Amino acid sequence: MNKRMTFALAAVLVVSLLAACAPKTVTVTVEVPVERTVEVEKTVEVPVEVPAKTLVLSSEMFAPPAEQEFFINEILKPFEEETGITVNFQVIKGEDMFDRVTVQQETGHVTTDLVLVFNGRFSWWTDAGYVLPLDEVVSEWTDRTILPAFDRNAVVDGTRYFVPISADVYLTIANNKALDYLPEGVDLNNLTYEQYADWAIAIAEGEGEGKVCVTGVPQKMWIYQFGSSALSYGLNPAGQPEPAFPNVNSEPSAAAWAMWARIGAANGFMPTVLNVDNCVDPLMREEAWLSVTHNARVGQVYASAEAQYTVAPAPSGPAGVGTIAGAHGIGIVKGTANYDAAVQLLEYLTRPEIQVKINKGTGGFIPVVAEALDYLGEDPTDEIIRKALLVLENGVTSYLPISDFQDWGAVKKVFDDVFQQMVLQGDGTVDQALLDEAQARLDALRVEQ
Amino acid sequence: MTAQRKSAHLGKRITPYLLVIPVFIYYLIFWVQPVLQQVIRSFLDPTTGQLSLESYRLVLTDPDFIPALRNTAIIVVISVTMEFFIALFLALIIKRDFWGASIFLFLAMLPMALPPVAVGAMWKTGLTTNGWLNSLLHYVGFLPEGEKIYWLAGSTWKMLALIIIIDAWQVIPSVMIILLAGLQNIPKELEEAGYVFGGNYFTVLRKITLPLLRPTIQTAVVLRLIAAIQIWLIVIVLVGFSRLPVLVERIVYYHEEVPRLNISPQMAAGYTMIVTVIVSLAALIYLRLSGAFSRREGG
Repeated sequence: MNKRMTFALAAVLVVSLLAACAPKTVTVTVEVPVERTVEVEKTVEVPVEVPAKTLVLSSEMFAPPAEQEFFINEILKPFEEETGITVNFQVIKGEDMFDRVTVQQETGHVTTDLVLVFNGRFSWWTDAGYVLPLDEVVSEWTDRTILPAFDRNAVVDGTRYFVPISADVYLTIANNKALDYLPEGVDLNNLTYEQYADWAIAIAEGEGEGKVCVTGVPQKMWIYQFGSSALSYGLNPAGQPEPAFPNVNSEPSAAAWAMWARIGAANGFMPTVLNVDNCVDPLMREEAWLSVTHNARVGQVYASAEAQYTVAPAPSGPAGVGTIAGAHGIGIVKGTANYDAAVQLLEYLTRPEIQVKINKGTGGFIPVVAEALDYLGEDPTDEIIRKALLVLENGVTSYLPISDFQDWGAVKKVFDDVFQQMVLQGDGTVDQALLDEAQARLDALRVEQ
Repeated sequence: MTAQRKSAHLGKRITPYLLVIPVFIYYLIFWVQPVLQQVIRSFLDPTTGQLSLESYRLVLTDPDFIPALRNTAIIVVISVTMEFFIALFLALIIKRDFWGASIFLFLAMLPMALPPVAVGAMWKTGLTTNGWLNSLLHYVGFLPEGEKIYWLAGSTWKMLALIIIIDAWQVIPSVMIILLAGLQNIPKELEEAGYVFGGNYFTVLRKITLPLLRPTIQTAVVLRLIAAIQIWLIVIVLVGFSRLPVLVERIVYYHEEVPRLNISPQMAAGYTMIVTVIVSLAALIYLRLSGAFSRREGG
């Protein structure tokens, strides 16, 4: 009896499984309502329930947990309370976001309403036609002016597809202990890279340990730290005639490498520099005293102990203050079922007061709405934003030509390898053969036009 | 009556297969199909779709392949050996059931509960110049005030040693638990008989305990061997991608870090297949050497 039962149960299990997989034919009885004309003598108020909308905002910005928490709780929650629209905020890598939306566009099942994208990747989205024109939307905003500095690829053939919401540049940050070693007569606000190198070497000699922080872990920010210095030495910004960023072996690049190699040969970098993926922690732990890094990260450190650090613009070179400048912008995904709600969110995020709130709350990004600057106050983050604006307005800035290369991570790796082989393990001189070899690797990564 | 018997006999034979079918279908869809797809992909040229060995040529000529193979081999040999002996030692201690053995077991198992990312982050924080490890050494007087050990700076060998130590710290408890379970299943009478016949602790251990523990040791070592070949997360938390290449880290590198390189799909596919073959061979060789097959064949 038991065996029969077991057999029967097994058979039922298999049949159920197969039945679940099989296509179903469903008979549905439909009741067709009969239309009637009813004469109403008095006005009746009928409460209409509007279903709550949920927007999906995918972002490659605000990856650090603290920034995410701030953006969700301090920025999106008030919007949800104001409009009744729920925002599902997802942080995702730029490449993965693009792949995900590609699938949605190909299948016609669009579930992502807005994308918050790094400006180096704007062209992926506009070339693929995945984002909607925003001119009509933007023209209705009379209380704000979007700074044109980041319009490249956000505006294509006169049509705007992305609205930038924040920007970033590179700044110098020093632990005040490092100021004791600042060469005499040097003005921190007009520091040159050669003075920066002298300063770093003086610290290393005085402390018996290097204190300069760059990101030595591959594929992080070294390319931008180096790129900013190379622009200062005369490298052209991306998109301009060669040699232009990114470049390894040109004369301006070699001059920048020589300056970094000088620091390396004097053991001026912190001893564990190859394990650093972000300079915030080493600066806060005082393992590093000196860095030229992303302004939001500088803001994070500075805001943690204002009295302990000094902030200045990025150092300059013969060509001026060079910096890599990035921005993040929002676009509305083609085929979204929530277009009006998406426009509402876009309008909210670009309000001048919200712009300041976002950019201050996430460490000190630069607001990209001109009127937002009126809201800057006197606290440490405001100072970071002012310094960053100074660099943005007066510096030699370059965008990131990500779409010119097969893979930006592989481009970063070329610069990381030169840093390890020539700057850290070298003798303080420039190995032109090594630079030429690296340049060949870089050129091989270019997308054939 | 005969028909009834035949039907019962048939039912008895079919039932196990019927019960297994759902799992079989699940594995077919979610395991066999992607694995086969990957195998096929590794033999195809992504642009032409033609049969090609290009993935393997690319991997074998990759300058990081030999270092990745060497680093993986070093991690596997040293960490599996070290982890096995330390875990066996701990299991033998706990088996003696001394006062506080349960608390010791609980403490020893704590690292097992941590995910590899947390382990990597915790140790990275500890190993930085101003981290808790140097602070601890200062506190207990092993390190004079003002002196520091740069744990994270140095050669490939130093980094490999750190990775092996950190991995061992996390993995030893799981090996220990398996061995302890095996030890607890050995009837006490057998060991007692060993002592009655004049054996000391080490003789009993060598002649009775370890031979009886052999199936458990095989399970523990094979599982550990496979896991050690697949180490990657701790490596990238400590040093990032590409600084200390290991085989599985290469797969993740091409799949996640540089996915848009023209060669990335082929490199990821090639490395995946090579790791699969190495894992299978390593497990087979170990089982063969440890006599697992001959014992089964012998009944």
